[in-house]
Amino acid sequence: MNALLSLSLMHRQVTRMLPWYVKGQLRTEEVRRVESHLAGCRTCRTEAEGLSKLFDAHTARLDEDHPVDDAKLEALFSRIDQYEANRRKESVKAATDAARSNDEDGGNAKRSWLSLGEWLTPRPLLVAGSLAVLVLAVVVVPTLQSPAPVQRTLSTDAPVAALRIKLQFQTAPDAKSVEQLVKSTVPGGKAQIERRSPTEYVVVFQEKPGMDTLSQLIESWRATPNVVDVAIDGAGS
Amino acid sequence: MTLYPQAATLQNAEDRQLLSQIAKQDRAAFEALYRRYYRRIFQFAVRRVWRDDLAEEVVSDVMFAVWQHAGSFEGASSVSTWLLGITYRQALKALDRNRKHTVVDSDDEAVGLAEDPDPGINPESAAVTESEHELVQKAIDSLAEHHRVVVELTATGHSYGEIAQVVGCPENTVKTRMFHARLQLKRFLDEAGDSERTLPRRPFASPPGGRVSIKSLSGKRS
Repeated sequence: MNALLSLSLMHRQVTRMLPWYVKGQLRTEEVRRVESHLAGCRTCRTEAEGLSKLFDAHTARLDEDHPVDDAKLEALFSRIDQYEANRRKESVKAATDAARSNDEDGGNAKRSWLSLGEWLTPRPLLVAGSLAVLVLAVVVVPTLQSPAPVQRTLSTDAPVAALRIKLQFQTAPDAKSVEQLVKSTVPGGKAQIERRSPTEYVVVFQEKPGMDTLSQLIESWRATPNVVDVAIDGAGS
Repeated sequence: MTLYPQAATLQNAEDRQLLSQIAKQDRAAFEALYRRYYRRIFQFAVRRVWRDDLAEEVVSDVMFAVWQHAGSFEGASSVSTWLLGITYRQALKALDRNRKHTVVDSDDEAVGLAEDPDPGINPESAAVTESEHELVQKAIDSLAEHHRVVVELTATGHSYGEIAQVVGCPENTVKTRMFHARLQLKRFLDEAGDSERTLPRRPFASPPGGRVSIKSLSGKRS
């Protein structure tokens, strides 16, 4: 069983690495691993050949020469010149507006204070009364109040949303084999299975597993033959 | 161009240096970056918009955006990935803008700007008198845009993580799209193989490819 899982895991890993193996972008040890697997796996050899043709065909048409057109570069520089000139104008305008606004505010504030002073001067009792109220409000009143008790409320825990893991298969599996896979790997078999499409199933956990258990589960499902993707449901597609 | 890891790291360091100079409005640095990436941006753009003139506009928009935002590049990706991401978004915007317009040539024939390639590209018409390269190219062209871009970026040596950054979706989504794209390509090529064996030779149902050059806006694709 371990050897089978190990083989499935290798197959899955090599399938993912194939595009970069074909592009010659793997490290030496990775190349060795891939080639060791390819020697015994016809499916992967066929896939590698197909990818090689695919990439060669695409890159062949990228080899057409398309030199820089200096006239277009000049036009771009003109566009940049215009953009920078507009930015400088706006910057100057913003600075001028800000300066003007400061002057006006300063002048207006000065005029307001002067007129208030002129109005209060013949009303000394009003001034004295206002000052007394102010002193009372700031000094006396706070000492008369007792601090309000701090109330704490406990928030109730919102129910935790169920954990859902999506399994994507290459070809439609037998529903019973999916059920068997999930029941034999999920601790206590406590999970439900939803069939979303012939090649897509969602595992709904009744009890959320620990992070280590979950990681191991995901890795073992990814290594299972015919499984092409394992992801948290709702992560986007 | 495929770069081995060390060379890619060195190029990225040089690109970042250029960007930091561009942020200080250094025109020589801007021109150097433009010349370095022009061909790659143009080729990526033209595969999205299918027209040389539109692709040139996209290149101009991309490099203008580089001038405006060079100072805000944070290095979360390589410079080349950042540029391709801008190109992808600008190309989609260009397609959107032009979808509202049609180009009328001298013969008063309206040429619609299609997001997807010529619908005449199908396995049967592709099978006849095609070299293997041309057949695979047609298979790629037959894919929907969100599958085709993933295949093309993988073909040019980008990792799933980099592709996710370019197109702006999660890495798992990129893997899923690649999986579906490979299935569709296989199906296309299998059907083309079957058609070649069963159908008599005949001319293409429609002109091959979906690319319009600046010189031939005549209602036909060449």
